[in-house]
Amino acid sequence: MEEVALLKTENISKSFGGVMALKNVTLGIEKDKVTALIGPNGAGKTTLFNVITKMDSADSGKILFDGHDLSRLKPYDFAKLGILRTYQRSMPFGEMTLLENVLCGGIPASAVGWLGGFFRTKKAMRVLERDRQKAVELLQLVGLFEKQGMLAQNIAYGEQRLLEVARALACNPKILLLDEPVAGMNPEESLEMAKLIQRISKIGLTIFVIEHNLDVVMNLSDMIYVLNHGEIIAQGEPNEIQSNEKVIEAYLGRKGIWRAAG
Amino acid sequence: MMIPRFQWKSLAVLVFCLILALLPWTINPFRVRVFILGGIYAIATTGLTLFMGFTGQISIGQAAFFGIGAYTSAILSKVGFPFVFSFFASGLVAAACGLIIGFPCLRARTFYLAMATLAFGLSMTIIFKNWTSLTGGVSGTGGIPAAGIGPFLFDGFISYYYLVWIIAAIVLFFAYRLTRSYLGMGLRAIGENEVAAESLGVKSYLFRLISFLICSFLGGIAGSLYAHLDRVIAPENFTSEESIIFLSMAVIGGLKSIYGGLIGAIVFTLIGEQLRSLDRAQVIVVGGLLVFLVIFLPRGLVSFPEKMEKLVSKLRGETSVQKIP
Repeated sequence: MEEVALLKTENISKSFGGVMALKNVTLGIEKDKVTALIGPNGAGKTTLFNVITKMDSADSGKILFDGHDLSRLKPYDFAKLGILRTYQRSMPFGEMTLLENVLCGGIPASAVGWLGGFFRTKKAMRVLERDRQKAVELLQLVGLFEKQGMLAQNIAYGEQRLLEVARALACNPKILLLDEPVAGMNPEESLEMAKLIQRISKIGLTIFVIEHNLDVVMNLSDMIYVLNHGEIIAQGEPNEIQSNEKVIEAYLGRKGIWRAAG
Repeated sequence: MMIPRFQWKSLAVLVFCLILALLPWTINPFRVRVFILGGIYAIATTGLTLFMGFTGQISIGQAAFFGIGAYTSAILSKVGFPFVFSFFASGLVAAACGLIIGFPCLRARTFYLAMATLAFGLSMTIIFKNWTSLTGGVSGTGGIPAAGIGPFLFDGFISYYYLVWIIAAIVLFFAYRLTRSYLGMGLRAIGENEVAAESLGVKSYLFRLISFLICSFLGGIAGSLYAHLDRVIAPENFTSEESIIFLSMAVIGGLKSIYGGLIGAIVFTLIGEQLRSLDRAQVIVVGGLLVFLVIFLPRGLVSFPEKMEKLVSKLRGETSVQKIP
């Protein structure tokens, strides 16, 4: 079976001063699958996300999406291509209602909405009505429908993370990059988020997720990459990763040390 | 039975409009001028609110656009163009200057942008003072014809009052529309979190530039109305001190609401008039008021009812005020 990588990085390197954050990172994210990137703290996971979405620029290497080179784009171009991301720290628009937050996903897509919404042309109002319905559906999907009128700053942290996923989905993504979606969540909230990720991946969305919580990752992902000190040290399906010596070493330290200590 | 919030709001707007409409007949005609000024400042400050409040930036150059509008309108009217033409021309010329200034300067943000717009304001004052052939120099330019639409001349304070406030109402109506449109939503998104907004595909620089153009356009048309009020203008009306007054009006009224500019402008103009006898010392009073408001009503006078609501429910001993609008 031929593998179709929707998003590919080729030999990405990035250093901050003397620190090599990423060393020749090459990976491929398959279409309609959930791919996870795991690794200890400081392994360079978020840096890789930032490089992919041009929040940082890579020193060398190439990023390909559907065969197109992404290295010349600006951060705001990615949404149009269908590459959406969330952040480790939640960033809802606090002084907007949940519904407005999700509606924001439609800002760049509807040029008619700009001046048309201003003068209330029929066409613009139709677009706005359609977007509003979609936003309501998305809020239903993430389970925040009842709270749609509340300000985003007044809902719980876990709910804000769900809101961010809904907001990203409003941009019609082809691929969703999730940066530690369950970080800082309690077990129930984590479960809720994991379920949501599963649900949206079944709709036919490619998902690339950075995660610390190994339980969540093992259940969710079709494919796992392990990053340590800026290098990919292992890749494979969850069961392969679980028994991989190098991965265990990176997470728990060298076996020999344990023996010596024990 | 609680009356829904939105009804309170429309009732307040209605009462406010009624008071404004009847006002000139109940007070001394000379005091009408103060309220005309309030209306003119409200237009310029609304522009500033749309730029500063929504995108979260700072501009200390509004008086320069105000001045550009005033001089454009004055010069065109004196040459013989009708008021309607010079009115819109002053807005467009100010917006064009906004484009020239905004194009390079809006790459800077917050305090750096404040510095850039301050520099623009300072240099415009120098231009107003020294381009004598065009602006009349330090003593300014007089003999500006009265505003008129068709055969109707707005040469009295009362008729001019209505003209200014009708224009202010139209401006506020469009500002309200703007906040409900995708453009306004994009501006708010940028103001809240630029990184998140950009990852949703919002071109923040473009959005900031558009709102800066709207801001300078409104500054320009307000300037035009100012020029036709006393029919004489001088560079001292458009100094950076005036820019800071516009800024204060926007902050006092409330940056996050489109009514903020309106309320700030009216309150500020009235206070200025009451304290006229204090001369320069009025700056101290106004400054003190500004400090007081920033501490106790950081979201401006528009948040006063909300604050009172909270206070009342606190006094009643109700806990947790979770408001669902």
